[in-house]
Amino acid sequence: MRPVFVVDPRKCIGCMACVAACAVENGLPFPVWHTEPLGWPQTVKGRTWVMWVEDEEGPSRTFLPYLCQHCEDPPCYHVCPTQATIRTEEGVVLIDKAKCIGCGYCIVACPYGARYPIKAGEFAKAEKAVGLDRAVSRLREKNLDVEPFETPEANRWAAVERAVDKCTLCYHRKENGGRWIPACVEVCPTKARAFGDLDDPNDPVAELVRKGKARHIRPDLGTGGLVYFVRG
Amino acid sequence: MESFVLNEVWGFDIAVEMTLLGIGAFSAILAVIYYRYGERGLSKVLSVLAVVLPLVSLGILFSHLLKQEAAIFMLLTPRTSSYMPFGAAGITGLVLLSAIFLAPMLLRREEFWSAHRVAFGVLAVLMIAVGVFTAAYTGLVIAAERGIPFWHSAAVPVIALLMGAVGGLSVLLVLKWDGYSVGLIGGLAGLSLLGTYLVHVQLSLTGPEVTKFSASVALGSPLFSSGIVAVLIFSLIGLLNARFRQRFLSPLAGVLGLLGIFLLRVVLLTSGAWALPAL
Repeated sequence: MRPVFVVDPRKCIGCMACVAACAVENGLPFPVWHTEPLGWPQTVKGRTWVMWVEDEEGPSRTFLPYLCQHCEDPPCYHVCPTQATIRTEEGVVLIDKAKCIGCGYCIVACPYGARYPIKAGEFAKAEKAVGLDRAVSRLREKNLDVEPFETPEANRWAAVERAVDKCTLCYHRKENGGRWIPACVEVCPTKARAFGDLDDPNDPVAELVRKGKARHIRPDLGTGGLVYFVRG
Repeated sequence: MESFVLNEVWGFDIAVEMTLLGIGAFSAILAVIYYRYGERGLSKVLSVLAVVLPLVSLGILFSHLLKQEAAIFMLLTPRTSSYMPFGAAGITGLVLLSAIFLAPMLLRREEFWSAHRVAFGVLAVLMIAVGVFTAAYTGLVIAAERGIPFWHSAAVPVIALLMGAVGGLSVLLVLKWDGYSVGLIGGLAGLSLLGTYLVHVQLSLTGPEVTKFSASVALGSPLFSSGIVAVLIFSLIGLLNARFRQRFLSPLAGVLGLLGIFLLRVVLLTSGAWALPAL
């Protein structure tokens, strides 16, 4: 399989369902995902997010869903000193969290701003910042059984503290033998995010790439990648 | 469209680490040179610095890691396309070689290396080679970053090497007040550093938008002008004092040199910016 991820910014309505789905799927507390205004890369701690700009005329916004480009020639891969950054046979760029020392070299190397560090205690701090711990305590006082967060399935690539984190295209879903489709694609209500297979001649998503309707966001960087954006 | 985002991953602490490393590397080089020319006491002090400063920089680097215990993977499964394992090996090598060189002197056997000339020759060559590499590494490690075009330049390792040279010679001036020839060499190194640094910034201003942005941030920083002035004064004192020979000017130049290279290093790191895709 040659996976391909196509983003159509024209279809994005900025609902952030993709961001929420990714957080749930990969074990990040939502507050960690909190974005700065506009959500430019490197101002966001998240595997995927949605950038936006206010349109000059009228009360409307333009959105750009964003994630790791899973480069064919990944700058992050070359600089990783411990071989923690790996590339699967399908071209998905992953981080072996056990080997990641969190030096930040890959974060600086990534020209797409797709990587970010998760420091020790950051999850708890983020939850506390929005009062999640107090909310859970109150619910428990009322004898309501609550689990503040639980990863829905075993995910060896899930977010952990004290390591660098990034999008995995939900590679664990393939490893778990299920239908491989990233969580963000699964929940997108407008199909602004789509996932396909370049090896499948009948795949409509791959067709967008084959026909040149979807292209890399920064072809000038020469990194290639599995993620394409529909233009025009 | 692009958005320019300034690097905050490697900032002040890494600037301290790199500056200490550069000074430590050239302290090792100067230690063997001064031993060769018979200045045992000075060589001993420089050797101590060549052991301590890289160790401190390693400590800073180690504390910067999110998961220190995994650092062993840099030895077990190093990626050879990354400069970092080579840098770590270089720093470790520098500490070990300097410690080996220092050991007899600490045991009050200052003439040990004079009596073992072949061993000293081998050690001196190794220390100089590792010292030059380690100082240049502080530039190579950021010049390899394709994500930040302001750093991704052949000038950056040269700047790092010259910063190390100015740092080492500045320490020497603080230690050796009558080192007028040291001041002269330091002055030339300082002017070379300023020339390379300013050419790099100027070329960045004529480059892509993101390097223009980085260069503008650098030029607008008071640390940049302070650093330039400090290194310039260091260089002028060094050059002029070779003629006027005022003892009290040497340590002053040394302090200014150290301050200057640190400020310029901070500016180089904090002005680096990504040109990230945006709407």
